[in-house]
Amino acid sequence: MIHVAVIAREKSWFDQIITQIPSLPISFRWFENCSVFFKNQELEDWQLIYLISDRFDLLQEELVQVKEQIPEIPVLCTVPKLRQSQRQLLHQLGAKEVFPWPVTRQEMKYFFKSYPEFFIAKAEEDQYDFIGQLDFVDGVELLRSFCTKENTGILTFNWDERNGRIEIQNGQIVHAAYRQLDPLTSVLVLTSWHHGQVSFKEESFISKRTIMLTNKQIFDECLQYRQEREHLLQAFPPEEVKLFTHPDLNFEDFGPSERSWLYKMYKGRTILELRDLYEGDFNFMLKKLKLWLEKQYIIPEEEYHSIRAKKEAEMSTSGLTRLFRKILKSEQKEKEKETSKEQPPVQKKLPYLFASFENLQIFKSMVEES
Amino acid sequence: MKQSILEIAIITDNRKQILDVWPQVNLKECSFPFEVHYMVEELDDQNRIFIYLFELENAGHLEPMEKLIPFLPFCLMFVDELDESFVKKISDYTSRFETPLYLVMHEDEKLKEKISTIAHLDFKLPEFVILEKQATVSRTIRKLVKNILDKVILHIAAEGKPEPPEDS
Repeated sequence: MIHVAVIAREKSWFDQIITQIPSLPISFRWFENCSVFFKNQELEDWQLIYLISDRFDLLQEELVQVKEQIPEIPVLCTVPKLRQSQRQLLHQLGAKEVFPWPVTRQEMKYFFKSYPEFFIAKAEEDQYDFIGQLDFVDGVELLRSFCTKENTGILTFNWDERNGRIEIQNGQIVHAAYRQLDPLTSVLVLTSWHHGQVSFKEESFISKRTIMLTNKQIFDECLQYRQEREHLLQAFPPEEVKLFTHPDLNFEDFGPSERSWLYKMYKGRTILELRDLYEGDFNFMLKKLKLWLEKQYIIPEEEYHSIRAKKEAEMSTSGLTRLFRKILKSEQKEKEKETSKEQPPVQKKLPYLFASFENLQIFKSMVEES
Repeated sequence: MKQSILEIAIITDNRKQILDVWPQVNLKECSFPFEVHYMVEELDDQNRIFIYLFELENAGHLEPMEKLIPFLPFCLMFVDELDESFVKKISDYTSRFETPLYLVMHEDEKLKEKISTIAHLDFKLPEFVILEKQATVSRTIRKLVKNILDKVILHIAAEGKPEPPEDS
């Protein structure tokens, strides 16, 4: 196990890093600044120090301090918007490697794997107190079993490239991190996984409390989350039925992330396949899919095949028949246009006519005084 | 004696939302030809806030809304559950009126989730404001109105006053 000290002003940066890295035997610990790190330096035998900052001048200062105190430990640096001259300066000051921000998973993997001597596992160091598979264990019940008074540690969830963690202190869930989600939603999503590995390791160094709910309230939220999912799934056809994007759908009408999901369903996906593909909060995605199903942007397999069959039948008819059909269709459209002219016009948006903006300032002062 | 009245509106079809915030409120019915309810918050002898209650789907409110809302500085909508019907209401309002709409959210543990849900919805949504509970109901309402007036004034300072449309 290699021990990496992460010195970052914001805890959220640390959370982002640790949820991106692959499943390598690396232990990360967070320190708010160099002084806190130096006070707690004796906690571990550090193999790497990782400095993260949003400002180049602050990063430079920290690098100098660290190199003065502990010159033998390699230092990685991450800061956004780095010029080449700045990068060179950091290397001159002793930085081992410099990553731009946001750091990508591939870069992190490449860097950590270039230190193969770190990954010769020592059996007693890599001992987890518990390792389980979510295929056989319910995430919520598992979390509940760890919420006993004696337990202080980190429950790590790994599913392929997805990594998340829930931190427990004296049996109370205090913090969770998964991707960019807030801590409570991270708990809901991680405990809803049906695949992947869960491991628990005792740790005395736990994050500050960010989830203010009691354990009971958190488990009630998990139950509600589950019930919400069951309720949403009722709107969909049975699990084994594939959903396809409508053959006439114009992908240009959608934003990039929606378009990518609609492409995924181009050749058909079941709802369970979509659940396993989606890496974030699947309840949120289900609401979107439900709306698409109602608007017929996505359709069940049977309907898709019948529409395709009709289209193919049309294409295979003779050119003359298609020409007649086209003429008839255009005549019908003209008739519809004439009838629609008689219909009342679409309601226009009423303009904003309020004009006494100076009086608003006066009124605001009166509200304050009162 | 000079009086100042700030007229605003709350869009709701659930009076319970109002009563949760404003228990024992005195709902009055307009005496002039709009059959809508309203509430009054008196700041002092000369100044008051006049709040209309409109229901988007009430056919009887259609005419009063069209006559009044364009002339109000802003409207409010209280947020309980962010479900499809609520999103549809917001969509209905924003497709019919340009008057700014503020979503009022309670300061509870679901606040962050509601804010992130709103941020993920497809169309550009109105701003939201958090209802900060004060020692009395009256203070809560005044604090809410003050917070919204801050946002409206800031918005005008940043983007300028909207131009009134030309008379056809």
